[in-house]
Amino acid sequence: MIFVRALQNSSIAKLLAVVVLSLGLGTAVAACGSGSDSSSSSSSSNGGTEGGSITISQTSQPDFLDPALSYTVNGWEPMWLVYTPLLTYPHVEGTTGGEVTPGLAEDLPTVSNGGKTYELKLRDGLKYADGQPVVASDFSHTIKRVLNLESGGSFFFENIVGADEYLKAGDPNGEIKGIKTNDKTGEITIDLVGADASFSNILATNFAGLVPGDTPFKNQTENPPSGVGAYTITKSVPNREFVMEKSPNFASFNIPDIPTGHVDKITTKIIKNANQQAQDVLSNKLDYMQDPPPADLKPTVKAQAGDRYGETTTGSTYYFFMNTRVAPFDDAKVREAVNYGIDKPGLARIFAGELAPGCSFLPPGMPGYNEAFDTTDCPYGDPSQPPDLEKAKQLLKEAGADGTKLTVWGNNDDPSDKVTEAYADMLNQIGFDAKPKIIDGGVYFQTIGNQSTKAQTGFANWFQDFPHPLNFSFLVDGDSIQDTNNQNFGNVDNKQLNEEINKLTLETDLPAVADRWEAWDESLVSPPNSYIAPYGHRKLATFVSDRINFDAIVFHPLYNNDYSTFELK
Amino acid sequence: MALFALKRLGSMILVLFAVSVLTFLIFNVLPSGDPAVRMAGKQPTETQIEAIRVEWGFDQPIYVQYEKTMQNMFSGDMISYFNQLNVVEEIWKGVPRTFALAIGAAIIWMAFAIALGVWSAMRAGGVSDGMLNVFALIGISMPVFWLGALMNQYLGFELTQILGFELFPNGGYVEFSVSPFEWFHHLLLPWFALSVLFIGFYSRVLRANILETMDEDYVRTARAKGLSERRVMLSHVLRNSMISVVTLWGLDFAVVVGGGAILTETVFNLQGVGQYAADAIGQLDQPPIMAVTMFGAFFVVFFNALIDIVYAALDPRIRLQDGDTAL
Repeated sequence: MIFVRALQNSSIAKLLAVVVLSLGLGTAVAACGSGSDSSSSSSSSNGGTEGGSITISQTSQPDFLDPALSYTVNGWEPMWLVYTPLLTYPHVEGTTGGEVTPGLAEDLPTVSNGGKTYELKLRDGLKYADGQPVVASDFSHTIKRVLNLESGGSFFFENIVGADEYLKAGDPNGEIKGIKTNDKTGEITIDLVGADASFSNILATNFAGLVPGDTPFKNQTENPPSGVGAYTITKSVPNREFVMEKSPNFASFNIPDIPTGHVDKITTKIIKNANQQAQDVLSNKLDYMQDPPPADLKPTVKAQAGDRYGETTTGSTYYFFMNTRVAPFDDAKVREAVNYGIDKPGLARIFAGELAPGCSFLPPGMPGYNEAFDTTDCPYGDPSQPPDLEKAKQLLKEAGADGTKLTVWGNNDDPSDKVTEAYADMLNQIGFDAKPKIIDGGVYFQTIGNQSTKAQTGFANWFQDFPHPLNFSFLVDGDSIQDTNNQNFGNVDNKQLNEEINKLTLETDLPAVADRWEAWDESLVSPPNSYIAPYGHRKLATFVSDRINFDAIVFHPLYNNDYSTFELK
Repeated sequence: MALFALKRLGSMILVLFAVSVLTFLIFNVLPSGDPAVRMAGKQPTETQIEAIRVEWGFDQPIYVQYEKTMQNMFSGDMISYFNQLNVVEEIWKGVPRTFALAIGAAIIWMAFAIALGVWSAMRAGGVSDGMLNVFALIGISMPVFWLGALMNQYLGFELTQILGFELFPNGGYVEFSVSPFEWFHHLLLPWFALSVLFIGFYSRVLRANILETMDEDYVRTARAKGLSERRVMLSHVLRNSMISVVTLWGLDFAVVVGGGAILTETVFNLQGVGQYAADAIGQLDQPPIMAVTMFGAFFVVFFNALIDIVYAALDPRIRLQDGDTAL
């Protein structure tokens, strides 16, 4: 502040002189790059370099840097490499990357008691990054933290016997009856209230990433706990930056399917301005940006850095819900007309190309996903082509619904607002009298999820929490309908579809029932049901600096860009 | 003077109380949604929502919630609903950045406004006055987010590409303690981006004030007494013309210090109080919004009182009488 005081006392002439001088001095400042180095490095198997440091960016601070609490991609993408759960996923692309594999557990769980008991055993000799040994009871502590901190992930673990009682009792040190651990043998037994074929996936979520048994029952974002993983968080300044460094002992555990990382240090800066991030990656001041470059910079990025930019379709689905309890969507023919009338390529343009048009509810990479159904065999025509408006108009007339007034719900988060307005236009083109209603993103899903709102139709989307169809089916499961906080916005309630979900919930061998999920998906979307109107799957970008070996980067189907595959050239 | 200060303190507390009640009520009356549901994540259960309501006191009557909120704010225990970080600590982290932006920009806009205002008034009706008028209108009309984005694009990015070195940084902030030069270097563009509007506006106000003051009797008297034109301008014309400008400066400076430079801080990624407020608004996170609003209100009220004192120094006719200004 001495400098400020000096300026305060100076005259205008002095001030101008200072400014001019500073401009002159500015010319002496060379572009210093990211300030990263690649000292003490060796060659990797991909032809890149082992070691070195990189600087990357996120637009928003992760909601939490605590595995018990984080429920955003900003948190999951880095923390996947810090907190390994008992089960996890291979660090590879495509459907293989979505198959559950042992993490800190020696093997996949032994499932018994009609799918309600899971038995696992910890690997021997595991240690946290701070050197503490890992014991079986740490798993119990980890789940208690998720429940006691009222994490967004609590939902996943409330099927464990005694979890509800533990939550209601409010005593963090209380017991969860359904979790039994033996620190001497490393054995862990989990009893469930009801069979859940996706429970292995739940055990592989970031929420279940093990933390030491003495980790406090409070948000640890400012001082993230130790974990078992390729990296450990060594510095966290919320809303500014956090630093991950290679875990000193992880490589010695030799856990199959989990790489030990290449670069020694990853500094993540929080930079709110996406333009600045993209420009900094272009000029190699930053090594990676988590969000896609802004639409107006994309042509520049593709032209100047096409060899280090790529897009991958994610496990997500964007769709319009149609409330089957409210006219006119209680008529299947009206829902079918809407499906015919949606201009999917037009919507993809609103996403600046970051949407793969489609009509499947289950997303790519998910067991049960049928690529043909999502593209050429879509019952409403090829999603990459313009819509069949004549057919849509004809169906609407037959249903006697042309001219019906509609309120189309959307929120003000980009691009929901633009998508909602475009959807309302499309509905008007086929004969409705539709008006968009855009409300704040913070209250949107609460509002349309409240039965008293009687929301007719509107914007909805879902990104997978784990690659299992049960993580999507609850959105259209009649048994999940609630008066408030309802996620089944269209109140889809079909007896056959509900029963099939109930049966498939018991099937732990997912590949064996993938064809049944495929049929379920097609029945949900196709006439005569036409319950929802899916229009595509979100693409995400990989954009890195010239220093990074782009070809070695793995885009994981769940955790997106895998930092443990980042290596310097 | 003591009575004046006491009265000011009393009114300051009243204003802050009113602001806090209004902000709290607005947040609770507007359809901002149930914070317990938002905190419960994507797939909330009733048990979980109820547990959050009890733990965070959302099940209490609204006046109890208000009391608890204020207690937490003044004890420094206020916690964000969104990321559960201490709100007061987060604001303090942003204060040096916001102050650095505000002080530098305020000096620049005041200095340029005085220079251009005086120049323009002295050459009223001339070509340079006309040109300055046009420039001032352009400056006033340019939104700071647009100007900032242009500066970042052309000076921070494209110029660096052309020159091969960084004449101006493309956003960001460097702590003064890390490198005073880089601190200054990184703040140059934000300072000027924030100042442009104020320079245009203040220079026009000052020009009009000077032209009006120049016709006053006491200015003619000063000239008749044989004072030099320079002395007439500085001691009589400029001094009296500055009164309303100082008022504006005080209030605008208080608004910027109190987190009002949301757009500038966001465009240049300064991560000060304004940007923190912008994030909180985007997340409908009540505790930081309450705290930043109170923080901003404090500075506005405080600087308002300070301006009353500065008035007296600028204009001998104005005196603090019985605790009030005579203006």
